[in-house]
Amino acid sequence: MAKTALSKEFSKGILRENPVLRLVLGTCPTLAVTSSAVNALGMGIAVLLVLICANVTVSALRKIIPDKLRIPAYIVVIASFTSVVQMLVKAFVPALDVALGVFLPLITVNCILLGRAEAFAGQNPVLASAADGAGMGVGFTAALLCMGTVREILGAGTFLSGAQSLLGVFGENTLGGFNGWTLLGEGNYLAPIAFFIMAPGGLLVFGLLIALSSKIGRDKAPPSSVCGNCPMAATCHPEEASA
Amino acid sequence: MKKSKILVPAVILTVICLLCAAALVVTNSLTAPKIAQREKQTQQATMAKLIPSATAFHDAALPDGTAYFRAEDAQGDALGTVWNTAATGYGGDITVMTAVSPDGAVLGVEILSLSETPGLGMKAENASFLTQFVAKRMGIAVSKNAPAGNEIQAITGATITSRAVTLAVNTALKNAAKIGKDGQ
Repeated sequence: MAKTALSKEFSKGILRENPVLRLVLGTCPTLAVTSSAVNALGMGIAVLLVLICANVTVSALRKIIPDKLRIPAYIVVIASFTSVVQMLVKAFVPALDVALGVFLPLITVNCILLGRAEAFAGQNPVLASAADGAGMGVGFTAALLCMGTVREILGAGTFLSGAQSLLGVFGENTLGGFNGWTLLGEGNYLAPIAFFIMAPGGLLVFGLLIALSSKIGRDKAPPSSVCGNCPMAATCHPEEASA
Repeated sequence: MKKSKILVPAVILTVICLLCAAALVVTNSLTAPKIAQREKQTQQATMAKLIPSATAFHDAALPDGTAYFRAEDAQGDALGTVWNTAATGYGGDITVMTAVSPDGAVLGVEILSLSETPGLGMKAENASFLTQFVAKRMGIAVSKNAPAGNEIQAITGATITSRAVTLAVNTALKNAAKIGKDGQ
């Protein structure tokens, strides 16, 4: 596989086929964990790890896995890696485990993972699948971080609050015990708008970010390859549906 | 011919499952001691925060099986007891650690797990809310206005959370009173 093709597989997940903003997959954890930037980042990294591992494994086994059994096989692989990541998080970043709660084990049923296994890793070589997983994971993390940043600053008046829970991996008081900034709040002109921390505010920010990413990537409609079995494919690609 | 169509995929799926299970066993055996140690450390550190003068915390249990910790200082004098209790808040169970003095007053309260609304119920973790419990006695009540006597002030917009934390603390006090009756 040529280098340019690998970087293409990687970069497509970041904007053109961003799993959250363009493919609109995995919206439930997206809305649930983005009430703070640190949680969003932690969730993003966890998904990134599981996604790369699962993509590589599924791709390596793609010729062995019987076609009829591919979905159960994918689920077993994804669930195992999710459990591995969850145990690692519990052992090394316990604060993040508390913060992410049930959404960490629920990575198993995140559509992004099954989606990539089914749409990409099941048909492509290992290296390309690893690049695809990394790109999609980075795209997921970036989208979550954007949402988390907007919601945390507007809704709680802080940015990167609780950063020590992630930095704790590198030992106590990394970066001089940096634990986020307080931007709005008592003593400032603006009070935080709690609405943005709650679910409706999350939905609003989510919608605006989708609009923004659609505007930026307007000329780059998702190629029909990812639309595969999507029942909405005809809506996005009318010319192909009529052909 | 037909047999192999069923058998081969079944064998392959079994092998995949076995390999995945093996990977999980390895990870679990590597991380389990670390996780247990972390949990114990957190418990010990939180107890030490509530009763700083204590040098040892001993495991103990009520006759009904409720577990607690007895805090002792270097001379072996009892400094109080520590209880983990839970109550249902707005977003799930809230686990609270309460330190109770030998004469039945609250020495300190810490939140162990909390999954309330950020910006509202999550404020229950703040010291400004938790220090209100210090020196209160059994039957603590929640007040929405200026608290008096054995009352604490609810967090604005999070009455359910405030009530749940108070309930958990009251449960701890009730449990602690049971020890007194037994004359332990």
